[in-house]
Amino acid sequence: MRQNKLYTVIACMGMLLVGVSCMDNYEKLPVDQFTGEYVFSVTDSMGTQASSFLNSIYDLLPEGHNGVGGDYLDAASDDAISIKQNDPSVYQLAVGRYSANSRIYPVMEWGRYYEGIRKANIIINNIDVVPYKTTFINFNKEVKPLNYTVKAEARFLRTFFYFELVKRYGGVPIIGDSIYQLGDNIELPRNTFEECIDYMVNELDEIKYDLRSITMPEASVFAHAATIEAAMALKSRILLFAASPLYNEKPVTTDNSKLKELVGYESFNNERWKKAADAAMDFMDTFGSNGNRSVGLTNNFTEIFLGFYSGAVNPELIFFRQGGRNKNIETNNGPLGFTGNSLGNGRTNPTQNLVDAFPMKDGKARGESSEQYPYNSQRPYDNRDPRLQLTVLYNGADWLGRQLQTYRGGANNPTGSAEYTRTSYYMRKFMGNFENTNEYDNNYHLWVIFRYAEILLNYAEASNEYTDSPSREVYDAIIALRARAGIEAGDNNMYGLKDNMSKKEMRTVIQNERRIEMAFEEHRFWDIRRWRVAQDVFANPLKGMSIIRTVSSETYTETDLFKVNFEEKHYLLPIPYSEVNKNGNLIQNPGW
Amino acid sequence: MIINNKFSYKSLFLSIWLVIIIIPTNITAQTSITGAKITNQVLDTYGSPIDGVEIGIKGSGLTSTTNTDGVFELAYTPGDILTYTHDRFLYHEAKVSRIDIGSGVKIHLQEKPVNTPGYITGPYGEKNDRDSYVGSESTVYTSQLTKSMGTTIIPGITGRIAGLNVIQGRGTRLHNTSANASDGIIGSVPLFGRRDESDNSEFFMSARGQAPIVIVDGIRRDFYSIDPDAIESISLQKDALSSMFLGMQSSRGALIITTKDPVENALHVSFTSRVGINSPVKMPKPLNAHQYAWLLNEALQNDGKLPIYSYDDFSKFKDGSSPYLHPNVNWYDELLNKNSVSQYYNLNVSGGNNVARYFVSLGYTGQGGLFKTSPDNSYNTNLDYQRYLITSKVDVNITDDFTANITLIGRIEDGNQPGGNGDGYSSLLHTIFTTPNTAYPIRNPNGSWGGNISFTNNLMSQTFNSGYIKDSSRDILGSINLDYDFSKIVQGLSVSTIGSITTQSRSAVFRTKRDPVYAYTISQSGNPSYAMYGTPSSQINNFRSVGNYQDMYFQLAVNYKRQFGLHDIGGRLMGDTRTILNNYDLPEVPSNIIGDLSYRFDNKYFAQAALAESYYNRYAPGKRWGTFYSIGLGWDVSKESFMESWDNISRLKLRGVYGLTGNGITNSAYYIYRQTYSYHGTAWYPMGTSQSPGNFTTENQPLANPNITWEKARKVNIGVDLSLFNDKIEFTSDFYVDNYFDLLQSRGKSIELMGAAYPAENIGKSRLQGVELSLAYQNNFKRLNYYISGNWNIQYSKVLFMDEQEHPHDYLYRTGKPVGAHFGLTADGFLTAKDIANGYPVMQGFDNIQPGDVKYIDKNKDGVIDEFDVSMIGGDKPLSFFGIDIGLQYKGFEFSMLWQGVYNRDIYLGDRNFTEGFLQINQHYGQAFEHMQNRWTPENASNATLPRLSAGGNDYNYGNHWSSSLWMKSGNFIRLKNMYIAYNLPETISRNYLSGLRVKFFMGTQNLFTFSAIDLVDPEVGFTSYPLQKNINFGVNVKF
Repeated sequence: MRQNKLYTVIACMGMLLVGVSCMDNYEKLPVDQFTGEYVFSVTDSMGTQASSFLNSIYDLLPEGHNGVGGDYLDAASDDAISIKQNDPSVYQLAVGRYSANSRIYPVMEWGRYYEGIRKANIIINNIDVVPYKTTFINFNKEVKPLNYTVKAEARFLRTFFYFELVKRYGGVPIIGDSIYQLGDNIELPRNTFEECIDYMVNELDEIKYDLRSITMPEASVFAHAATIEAAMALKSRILLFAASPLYNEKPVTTDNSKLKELVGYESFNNERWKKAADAAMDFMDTFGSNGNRSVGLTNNFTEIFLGFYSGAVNPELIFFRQGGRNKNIETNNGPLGFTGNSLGNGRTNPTQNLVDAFPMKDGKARGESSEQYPYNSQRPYDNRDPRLQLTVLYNGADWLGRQLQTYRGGANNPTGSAEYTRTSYYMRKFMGNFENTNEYDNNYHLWVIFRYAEILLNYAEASNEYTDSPSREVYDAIIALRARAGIEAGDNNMYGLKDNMSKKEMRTVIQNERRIEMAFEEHRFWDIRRWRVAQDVFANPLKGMSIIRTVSSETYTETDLFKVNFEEKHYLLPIPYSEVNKNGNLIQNPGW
Repeated sequence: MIINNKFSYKSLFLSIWLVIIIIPTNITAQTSITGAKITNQVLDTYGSPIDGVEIGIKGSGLTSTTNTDGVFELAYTPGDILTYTHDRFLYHEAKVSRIDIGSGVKIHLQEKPVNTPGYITGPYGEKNDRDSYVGSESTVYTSQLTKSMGTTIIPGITGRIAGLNVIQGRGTRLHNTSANASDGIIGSVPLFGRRDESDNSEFFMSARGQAPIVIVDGIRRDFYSIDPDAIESISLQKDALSSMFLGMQSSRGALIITTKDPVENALHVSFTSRVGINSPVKMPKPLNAHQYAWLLNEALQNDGKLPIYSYDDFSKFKDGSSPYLHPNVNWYDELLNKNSVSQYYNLNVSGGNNVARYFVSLGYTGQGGLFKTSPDNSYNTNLDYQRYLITSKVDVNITDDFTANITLIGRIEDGNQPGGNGDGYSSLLHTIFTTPNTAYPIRNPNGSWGGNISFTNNLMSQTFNSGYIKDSSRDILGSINLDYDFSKIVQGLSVSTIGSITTQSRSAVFRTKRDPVYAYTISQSGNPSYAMYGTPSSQINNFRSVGNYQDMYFQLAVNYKRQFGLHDIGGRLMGDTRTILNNYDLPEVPSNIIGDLSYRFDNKYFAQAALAESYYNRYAPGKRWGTFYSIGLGWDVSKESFMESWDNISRLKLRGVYGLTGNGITNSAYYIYRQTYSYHGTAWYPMGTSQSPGNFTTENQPLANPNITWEKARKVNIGVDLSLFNDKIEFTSDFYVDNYFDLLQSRGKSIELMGAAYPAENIGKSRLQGVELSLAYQNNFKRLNYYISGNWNIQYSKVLFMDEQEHPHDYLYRTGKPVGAHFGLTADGFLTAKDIANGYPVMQGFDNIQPGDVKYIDKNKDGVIDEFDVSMIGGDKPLSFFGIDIGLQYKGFEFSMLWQGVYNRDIYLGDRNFTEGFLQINQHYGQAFEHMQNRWTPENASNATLPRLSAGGNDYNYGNHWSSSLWMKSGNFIRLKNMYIAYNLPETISRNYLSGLRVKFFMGTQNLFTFSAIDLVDPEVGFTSYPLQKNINFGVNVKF
């Protein structure tokens, strides 16, 4: 009797538990968190989730606008400094206060790119189950189901991420198409530099006809997608880096023979410059003036950064990271000293070093100019390359309907308790055309990753390095940029270039042209490394301008800001210490 | 407790000293010989009869017990000494005197100030016999709880419960206006120790290193804001056996709150009213404008920058001659009042008969804030908090065998706070803390709000001109316990069931606004100009749902309890299940089946064992059921025959518990065992030239951990209970060793090539062991009762295993060090010019290292200071905390004080606004404080306690993100947590003039004195939080 009762009670309790845990008002597992079968579904002929997954990989593309702790990466080169006094990331990066153990985000990202690679691999492995009914048209006017481009875009992005790694670290582990799971052994060694370059180039060659081309009919939705143009531009950049002295001629020195093939090619080969020149020429021949002319230089220099691709207005744009329609760049970097909707925070202060790099209006360097455009150190911004005023805001420049006052005590650089510009300059590039308006307004702020000007510069550099003396095409490429910039052609139609320059003279011209044409576009930081000139560049202090105004005159004096001690080990970034520590097969870069 | 006579201050202070030296003495009285029976009545100090007093004749054992009228009858021999023993009352003995003879004589017993009832209340209200309890437990009762005033009961238990470590992190509650979850709401886990339904945002509480689980009348609930007058007891149960009813969360221990039980008697009414005045314990001391300007110039020059201020500026700051252009505003004085007021009222009523009994309590608590307000507002902008609480309990005997207890608790909490920057008082306090006195004038000459490009929201405007934010919480907790006694069928068998529904709804209303500020300048030509900053916005009216919480609980238990001769057997089989709905998460369904067996022989030997099978639905299928168990043994040595001659020892109990406990549920996250993807419809990467919002699907991070399970612990508790001299001395000691394993940690080989974040896995191991002592001594000298009780705790912790990366030096390893040890660089004074010339090791990448910068020890002697020189700099000692409670009662007078303290505690001053000062705020420099005058200067090099000044942030001197021992300070302190003085009107007055109304006047204080090892800050509450409050309150209690 007693036992029966007990059993009944236990049974009741059991039923209770079962009853409650199977409450059917609710689903058993959260429907908002679905699994891989739903993302890559055999029933999803639109591929909605798969396309949406691809979109999340685009989001990992680097954001250059104020992307390094609120600053431009170029503020870690000799072109600019941050207005911030409290040790901003770019300052730490500039002075080399980082080690394998202290990463400066997002520049010293290692895992972030492997995250991108993992995501790309998830698409590459799974996309083929999605029965896309939609199609697209490729460069050869072939109609293909959407799987092709989704997969190819993922592979493009994967290559892009690998290149971001390689330019930082040299050879890195190549994952292939694997998606690792918890418990897998992933103590992978680094692949050699050569293997990495070959892998990337091969990937880009394989996918290029699976991608759209830039004049795509569905641009309103896919304008941001990777195209064949983007793939070929990336190839041009990769091969240019591969041929550059840091990896080709003079890699970072090391006694470790294993490390030697990781940090660059084991021996110098001049043919690599040819490959780089060919890749750029291939692009020009296909899309440029020798090809279908779909890509070219945009007439208006500021327009490149303010709008999408347009054959008529902005044919220069090849690939970009989306930016919203806003006034973020203006409010972050616009000059201080305005209020309300004109308020800027003056984040980026270009250096005197950058200003000095701009030639005069006739294309000749300061002091070498004709009598027509003399350089006056007390009126230093007169008669300069028009790109100067489109890149840098200086004392007296027109802005928001006023003339900027960056002299000490001026409206845009007051004395007192507040800290304003540290160089007497603010950044102008990327901002909308607010010279004569009253306040800032919304603009598209795309982050331009590839534009045609870079292809021209890539070609000029690679070709000049490959040949004994620069060819006519090299001159043409530079002249094209100078002509667009508004530099005067001169009597000899050489836009300030000398005839018959030596390879070395031409190298100086090309490197300077690259610096001023693509200032703040995240090139200078990497270029002075791959050219292996950073030690020479930083032998000089970073400089600003001090402008003292009296009732009758203004006095301009250059001031030293700080000096950077750049060591050989800084040419490559350190692989995170923890990664080297956890992964017995991973070798650290020299000096770290 | 209450003695009807006069008192004098003299005797009070005398008696404090007497406490220490008095030897217990017996009250002697004249004797008379009659040789007959006496019939006397035993009463408490209120004149109510006491049931169950055991009357003995010394030397011959028990002879009688009082009945419900307090009457006993006894035959005696002349010269006999009668002893009166009762759980709740002080032991009393007296020789039979002439006046005892005959009926109608009344004996008054005094209530014990340190109460140890004969039972320990279990989680479901069951009263477990204290004799047979083998676990580790500590309890406080109403009388101690009501000495403290606060919005929660936590101040009332701080320092009073052995093993409970309470540190206050904030001086007032944090108004809950956004969902309290770690990452959004969906699928997120509420933050540790602050689960959504918790109303505690001020205190960090831990018992043996774990946050105990709160049980209110049998129902699990983090419920601290509750009237102390409605509470019978709060019991902390720490060992594996007494917390086994928590099943999968049994590692955490339980804080069991039992509201007052209805008692069968005539109508009893008690009303308490209390008003308190609060003021901050400690406030920061900012530099005045003149000193600030001077030191900022010094800092700038140290960094090689141009000074900002001229001599003319200094003199204007100093003499105040230019208040608009050279302001000197002490924001604390301008924005905060010195005092705030709090109020507390409680009315409770109880009564009933042998069929139905009730207890009803109504309470109101209100606490004001320190912010200044403006009469121009039609609404309140000050910080405040109001709580209305109803507790009602009804016991009904449906039949002789069938009883029902019904509990209903309803609570309304309303908070208010100034709009501040649009998000309330916390950021406002932080901005007050960081804004220098020189920043801007409160108002400009034209009456507009002052400000500038860096300070675009005026602080005064934020205080009372930015609207307000209201938050509210509504709780209802209802439960019914049914108990059916089957003794008529099977002796000792009963079945009980509990059903409960709890709901909570939290919401907030934002009615904030913002005014622009104007920077006032005078041009060279003398014309004033005003530049506007900040975006004005008119008053908004937004409603936000903060949380919806619902908890349903059902329990069914079969109990068996029977005595066979000297053998007592008990058993219980219980099944329970809860269904928790938290906002829009799927229901959580933790459930248990728990069996419990107990055996007792002759009140001497005790054994108990429990087995819990626990279920939780958010672990992977097949891994949802866990088994936990524990076993306990006890032996009351004093009951052995060989101890009979030791008269003074009334209890010497040895007890031990061993068990396997779990700590799960909260670690399961939201179905973390599944690898899932999430879709975000309208966010993230825009698409195409139309910039249409890109759809976004991602693999959820971290990766799934299909093996996730609860953390576990093997716990041993060994204890001794000792009662001496008729319970005048009670001593309890517990020694415990808790070995934790399967702790969630990330694996050492978490290689980033994975491309995804690694989940935490069950790999860590750690040990916590310690000792808890409590000692109480209570006695009376004539009508003076006094007691001293205290508890002392020490805990040692050690990381036994964590899957660490390999380190090149031993001192870098965390394994083997205490849990929570703090690592950083070791500072060794300041660099001298000579050090720098000699190439003393410094960090790389700093271009401006000077004499007066911090000198760090190069532990690995590699010539640079870097992450390999980081070692343990704090948290290396075993944490110890204690409480001392001293009290006395003389006639109607009561006095008590509670000291609470901690030692071996380290705190890290990590707020660089405070330690370093002059941090950059947009285009300006931030606040600096008076202690910065102790900075290093060439003249002050030997006495300096701070490095040289720097403006805008100097990472070098602040450890470059590795921490520095320069800022590791002792967190030791002792506080007079509570002092309480009360006076009860004599019984004769209440009987003769107040028709039986008993009246008590009292005064309490909180946090009156603090002795702290660190002088810069309060050892508990940092300056960016609402300051810790000192409180003095006055009240009256009326009851009949």
